[in-house]
Amino acid sequence: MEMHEYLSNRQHFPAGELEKYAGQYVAWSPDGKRIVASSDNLEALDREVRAAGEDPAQCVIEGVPAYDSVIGASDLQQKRT
Amino acid sequence: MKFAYVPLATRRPVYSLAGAQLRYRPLIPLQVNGVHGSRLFDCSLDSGADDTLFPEQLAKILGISLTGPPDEGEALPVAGRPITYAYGRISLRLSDGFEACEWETIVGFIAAPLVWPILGHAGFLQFFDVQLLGDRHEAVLIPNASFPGVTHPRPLSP
Repeated sequence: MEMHEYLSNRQHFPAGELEKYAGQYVAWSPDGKRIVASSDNLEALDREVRAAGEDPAQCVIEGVPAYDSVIGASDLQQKRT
Repeated sequence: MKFAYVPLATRRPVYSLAGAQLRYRPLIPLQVNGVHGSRLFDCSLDSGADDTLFPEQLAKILGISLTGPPDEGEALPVAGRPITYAYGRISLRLSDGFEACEWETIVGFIAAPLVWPILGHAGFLQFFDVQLLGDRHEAVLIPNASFPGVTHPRPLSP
């Protein structure tokens, strides 16, 4: 993957689009333009990424917080309802 | 190396940010290497954390050997119960697409769920001089004299 390309595109992804993944991990496409898969379990996320035809080693994993304020990056909470 | 803060939307206007509905967070993508491969993870720069911590599941996926008692860490999450975590030696790679740093270090792997892996002092911050530019929403990291690995500096312009 081209890290510079990923960082640039990730920065311009609509922030509101991520809300539906609250409380989960998402895997980004290598170019940072789209979300390939999501799960609250890393092993399941790996499987989903492969099922989508991508290489898990090339997709940045990012946690989407379940709450508006995070203290110390702890507690990946359940998906928002 | 420079990394723009990552914008994340909030459900409600944030009173402490004058009603803004975005929080900008210093998350940086770090490559974690193990015997079974590598993964890229957006990690949180956290000067309040003593250790660098990753989810325990990642150690299993990458085949990273972990320590057992008594060589474990212990932490007290905010308003939580103390939790222990194992340590493992791993190889890390950080790049902004122009420069790169690679090093081996010891980090913790914790069974408790994390929103983001935590880049604390041991294993990460100790090796970098870090600036958090709040107004510009940008983090600047420069490997310092104690950095134990290999750096690949930005190529000189012709």
